[in-house]
Amino acid sequence: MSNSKNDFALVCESIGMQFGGLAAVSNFNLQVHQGALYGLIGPNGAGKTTVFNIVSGVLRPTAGSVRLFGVDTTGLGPDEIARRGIARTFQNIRLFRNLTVLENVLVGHHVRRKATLGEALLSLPRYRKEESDMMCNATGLLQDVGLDHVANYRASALPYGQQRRLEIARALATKPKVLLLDEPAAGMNPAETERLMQLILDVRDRFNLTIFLIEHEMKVVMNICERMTVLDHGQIIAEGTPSEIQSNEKVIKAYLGGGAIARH
Amino acid sequence: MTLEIFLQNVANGITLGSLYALLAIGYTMVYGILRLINFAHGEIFMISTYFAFYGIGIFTLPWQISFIMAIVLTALLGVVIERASYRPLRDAPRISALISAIGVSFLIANLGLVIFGGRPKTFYRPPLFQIPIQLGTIRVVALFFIIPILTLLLLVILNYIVYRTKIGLAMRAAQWDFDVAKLMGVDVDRAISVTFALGSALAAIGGIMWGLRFVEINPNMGLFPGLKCFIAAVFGGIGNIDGAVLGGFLLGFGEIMLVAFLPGLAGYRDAFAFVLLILTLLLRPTGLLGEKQRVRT
Amino acid sequence: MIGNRSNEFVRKAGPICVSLLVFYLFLFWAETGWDAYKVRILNLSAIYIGITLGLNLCNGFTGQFSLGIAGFMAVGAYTTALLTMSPATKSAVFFIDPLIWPLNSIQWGFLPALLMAALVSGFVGLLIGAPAIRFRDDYLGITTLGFAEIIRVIFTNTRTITNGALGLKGIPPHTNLYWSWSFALICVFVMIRLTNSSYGRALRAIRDDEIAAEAMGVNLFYHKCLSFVISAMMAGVGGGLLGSLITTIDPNMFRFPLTFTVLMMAVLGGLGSITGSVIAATLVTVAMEVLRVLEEPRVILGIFLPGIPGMRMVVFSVALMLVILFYPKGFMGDRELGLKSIRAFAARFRRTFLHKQV
Repeated sequence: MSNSKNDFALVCESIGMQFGGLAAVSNFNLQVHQGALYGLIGPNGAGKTTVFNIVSGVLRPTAGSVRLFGVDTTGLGPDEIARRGIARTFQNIRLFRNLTVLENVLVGHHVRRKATLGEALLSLPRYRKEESDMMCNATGLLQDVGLDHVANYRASALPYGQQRRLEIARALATKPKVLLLDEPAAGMNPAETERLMQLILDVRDRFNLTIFLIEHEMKVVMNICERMTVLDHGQIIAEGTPSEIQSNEKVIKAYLGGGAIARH
Repeated sequence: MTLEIFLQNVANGITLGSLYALLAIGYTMVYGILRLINFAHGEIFMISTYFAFYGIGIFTLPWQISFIMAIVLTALLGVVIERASYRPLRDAPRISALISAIGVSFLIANLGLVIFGGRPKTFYRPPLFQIPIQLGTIRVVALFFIIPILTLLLLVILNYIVYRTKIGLAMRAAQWDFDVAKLMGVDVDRAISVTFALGSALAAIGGIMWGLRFVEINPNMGLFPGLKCFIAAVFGGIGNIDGAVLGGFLLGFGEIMLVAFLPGLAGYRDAFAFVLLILTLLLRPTGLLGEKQRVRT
Repeated sequence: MIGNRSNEFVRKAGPICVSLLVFYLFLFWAETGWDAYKVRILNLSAIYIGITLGLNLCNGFTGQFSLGIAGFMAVGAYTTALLTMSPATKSAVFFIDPLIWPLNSIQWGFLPALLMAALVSGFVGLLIGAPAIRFRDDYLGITTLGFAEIIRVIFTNTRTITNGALGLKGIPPHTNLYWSWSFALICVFVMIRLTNSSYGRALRAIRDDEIAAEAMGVNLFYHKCLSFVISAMMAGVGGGLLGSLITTIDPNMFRFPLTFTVLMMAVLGGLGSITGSVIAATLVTVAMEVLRVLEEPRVILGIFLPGIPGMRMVVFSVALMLVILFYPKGFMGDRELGLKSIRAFAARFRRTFLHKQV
């Protein structure tokens, strides 16, 4: 394998996904550089979430392969992929509703634990050390996303915008190398969206992450993504920088233009 | 094994299978709509035999009227159980409804024990069902023909109700998608009540036939035939009425044949259904006639 | 530094040691001074506390609705009984079909027998859990119920090991308050440690959202099996203690009604609450005995009242129904009653009080 391929954090090679006879995604290719902030956009039903589910291991693609830092991860389960350094958030928030905010983040840390169950039951030194490290780390993460003041609330008690932030903090707790954000700004008001964009940029730099996000909110994608891929009916119709995408005829026709016309 | 004994076993298998089928229908209909194992269904079946028993024994009704009364009362009981213990939990976690169902099941079984006493009772057998019929070399009583024929007849009627009537349409709509059906103006509550009434009525018919066939009735007879018939419904494909009949029939027939051909395994008869359940769920979770996409998302 | 640490240790462990000492003194007093009937209830309470906690771990904390607890209790009870009975008793009990070697010639102490019961029932739990935990909710329930029934049917038929439907008689009555309450305390300890640990958070995460838990790297299979096996082990040891307490067991003891009883305790106390399980298991055990009067014939004020068999279970079924319909989270919900929550309550009270003053 050549060196250049290893520079990419995430590579999808001619991925295809068939549901019964229906092709949700076909011949999907993607190369995300390490440290990049990469966007995936497209109209509803274009297959964006399918791509996410394949990358995070929820779905096994019917064709093609996924590579994380040059290592093939195709067909691994979601927990194994999380262990290898991909964390994600969900389009329709999936928090552990009856756990506290702090506990939600601590669950994210669970995957990096070394202490065995026996050590935990007997509260041996290594376990105690790990637990207090986790606690420190989790508290720090909550401060980073601005949720430290509600650490002991039940997750379900948080308002919507904070729940989205908590999902990001929980994902970060798994110490990922690549973070997948599924429509992070969905349902947020402009002020919240603004803060979220800042958070995403901060997080990328502080944790040295590669971020791959799906977004509907054009402003978010155009403002913070360095490159993006446009998907329509399961096919890639364009790839490039925001300005390239904005002036791409196909995109305007399939997505921006069509939508704009329909709205007016 | 002589031919006579074999044919006798076939007759036993067909009757037991038909009885299982009648019970399995109730499970499959309720599961289809509510996604709930109606644990109390076996107890509904048990109670029906006592309704019929006391109708004849205490109220000295003619057996025809007593049986019909028992069927009507059992159908009502089914509706009441749904109203009282499942409806309030419709939006609660599925486990709550399941615990409630288990609770009702134990409540009825033990109320039965309190009211009817633990000692088995002897069911009344009208002479009509005991007319001997000579079939070649073997002799069987009319009951052995009445049970399977009645079961098939009821299946036809039920299919008519579900596929040809308005309330049947409502039931199918509710089974397909609860919320959408509601939005489309389907009276879901009524559809569910009718489902429980029909399922319980069939259980009552099964119960009365059970009483005629096995003579002894007791308050504990509901739980295990009940569980077996739920398994039959899963085996046939949960939510599918024809599947429940097929599953019930095969389970009953299989049980009898297992004991007939492998007497060494007779002691394991009660485990047969559960082994079948586990194999079904592991190998073909949609059951024999289940539609693939409809089962447990 | 070292002095500080040992001081810390004394400060933390001191009160626990003292309360344990007081508790065991109480047990000593009860064991020697109380009448056999009360001691029996106290024993049963402890055994049911442990078993209920096990069921709660699986059904409540992990959200895996299992109905197989009676099967695991059977495995534990038979293992313990067969290991502790003397060869002489065994040959007397197995008078139709003799017991197979080596079981017929060994006799272990109670502790190793109980540990073996934990291992065997844990292993059976793994055998059953591994295929069953892929199902959810009601299907998991009915599958585990099915497995428990299969265990019972097997025990009824393997006469050279279990003596079949005749059951075992003359099991050495090792169970006393020290054994049963030590078991209960160990179960409470394990539950507290487990549920507050990283592993316990993962289990509760699975209960709340399997898909999200898996995406956070929680291995569903491992963690579900873990809770299933620990639950089976607690049930197994509980079954062993129970068998040794009542000294006779037979397969029909371990039918679904037994699972129902334990499930009822866990639901009444609150699925997901340790203290809830402890309180409910104790209350229900005591109530079971107190309500026995309903089922015994007696004369009150010169009027003869016949006993009504089944009345107790009617009362308990109604109680369960009322709780699930009107108070679905049980006494405790998923909260705990402890110094911490009392302190928190006091703090909240003080806060609101002060707020009002300001």
